[in-house]
Amino acid sequence: MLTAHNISFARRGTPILTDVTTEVKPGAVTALIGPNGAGKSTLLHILSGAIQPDHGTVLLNGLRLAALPRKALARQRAVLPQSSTISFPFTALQVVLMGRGAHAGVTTRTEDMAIAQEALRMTGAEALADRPFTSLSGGEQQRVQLARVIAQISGADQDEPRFLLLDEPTNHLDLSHQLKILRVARALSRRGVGVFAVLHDPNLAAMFADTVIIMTKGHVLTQGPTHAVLRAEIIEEALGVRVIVQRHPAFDVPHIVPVE
Amino acid sequence: MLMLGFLLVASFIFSAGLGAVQIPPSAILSVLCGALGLPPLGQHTALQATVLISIRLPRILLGLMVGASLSAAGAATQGMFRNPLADPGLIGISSGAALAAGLLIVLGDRFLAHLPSDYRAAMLPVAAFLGGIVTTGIVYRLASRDGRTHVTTMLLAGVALNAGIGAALGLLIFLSNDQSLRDLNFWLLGSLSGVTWPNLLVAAPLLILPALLLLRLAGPLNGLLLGETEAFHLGFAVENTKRAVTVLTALTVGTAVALTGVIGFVSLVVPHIARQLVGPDHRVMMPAALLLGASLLTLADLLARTLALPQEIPIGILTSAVGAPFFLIQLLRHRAAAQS
Repeated sequence: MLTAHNISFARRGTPILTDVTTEVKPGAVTALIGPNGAGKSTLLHILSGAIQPDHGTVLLNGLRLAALPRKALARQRAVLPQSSTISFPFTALQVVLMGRGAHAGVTTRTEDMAIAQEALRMTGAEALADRPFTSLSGGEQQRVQLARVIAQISGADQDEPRFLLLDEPTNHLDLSHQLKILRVARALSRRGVGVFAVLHDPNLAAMFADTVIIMTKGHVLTQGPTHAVLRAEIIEEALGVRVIVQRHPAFDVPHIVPVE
Repeated sequence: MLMLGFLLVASFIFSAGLGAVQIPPSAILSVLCGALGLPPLGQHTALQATVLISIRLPRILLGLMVGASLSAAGAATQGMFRNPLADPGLIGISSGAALAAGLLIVLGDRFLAHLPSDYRAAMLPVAAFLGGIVTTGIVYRLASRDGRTHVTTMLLAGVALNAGIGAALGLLIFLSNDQSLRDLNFWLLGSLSGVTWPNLLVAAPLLILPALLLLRLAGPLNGLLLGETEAFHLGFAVENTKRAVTVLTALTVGTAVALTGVIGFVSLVVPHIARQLVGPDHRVMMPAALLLGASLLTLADLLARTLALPQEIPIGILTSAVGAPFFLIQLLRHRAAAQS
């Protein structure tokens, strides 16, 4: 379990997060939605340990995140950035293998290679393995990066639940790639990984998340099972847009349609 | 890597053998065996032995170490800044060293004239070393806040400081007389001449140990290429790595500049060639750059002292003359590849 208790955080006197308490369960997808400036990315960075909150604590599998050794932390949680640029001609496979840095000396090179190949296969990027990362399209790069963070938390060298945090992973991607990335994330959650995703599109949250957190202005407005949270009055309050929530025509999930 | 080792041995043999006094490989071996107290393996003349042991050998060793130092530091700096155009000179090491040396050369004539000239000559490398370290320290401090170092600020602070130092050096040139102008020029263009065994032995650990320690940072430097936050997520000690790269680079390049003056382009170009040969993975690329830089600088020095015999060309002119067009070609080819 990855939990945040009473988190507050301010930047130069401006409060970004106020008294946020939430949790990411292993084996489920938790989506965080909310308008720009709600503090979504900041909360993700606090859950990842990259930012220390001013108040409150984050616990990873019962231990204080801030007190965990860097490498132990890296073996239990990985973070997929929005996008990354690499100015050196690494191949896709080399980028994925970088995910194994925190396992150096724990797993062998052969094991690392097998894990990297398997991660590439999971994200449908095995054909890209030997291509220079810089020559890939945005969607291909994001699939390779996803393989890198999967490789980071794979392997049998520790048995605590692992967590994958995704920071607006579908930004700038075409529809097909958006679905691919989130499908892989959901498949990972079914193998026991706790997935936390900051998303912009409430419909993607509706399709892929088990639990939804809605944030506005640094507060948690509401959180709970997807169908309970994604209701018209809540979405209107959070996003400031009038919507109708229908049943999705193909799946048993809510479908949100703006009506203004 | 094997090829690079071979290149290193070849550059050693060529550099040891060629010059005003020719020494064939067998004689080199014979002199070296003699010097190590082993039975001689061939024949050599006393002149060959003297030239090799007291003139060429220290100079070659200095070339090897300075080449290795500049290249390893260049590779690490480019990794830290995530920018293939970065160079240790950007964070003020070379310019700071040059300024300190310039101050001593130009103003020393006026204010330290009462000191014996030997003493002043010995102060020069020390002052240059300290100048480089202090300037880098200032750049690093300017870019650090709350225990974090902002590398873009570091780059910009380095550019600003370099510009200021350039102005100060210009003023020093304006103020200098003919002799100090010659000394200063020689310093700014770099040269491996005049190295002695005692100098070399003092400098060797400062040149080589930091360069070898930089190799140990290859893993974190790979991670940093993904971005600082990503490197942290991967479990690397980001701030420690940046601090270590800065300190080790300042030490090794500061020592190199103190002994040889400013030798341009090596730290910028050699990592590029190494990346083309073995790929961008720092764990392979940095040792390759180190070997390659050692070989190339030794060969460049061979040219510097033999092309215009009995005159000597400052090595900085050679490395820049070869390095600049090479770099341009690389740049254009890279752009062509990016567009296709």
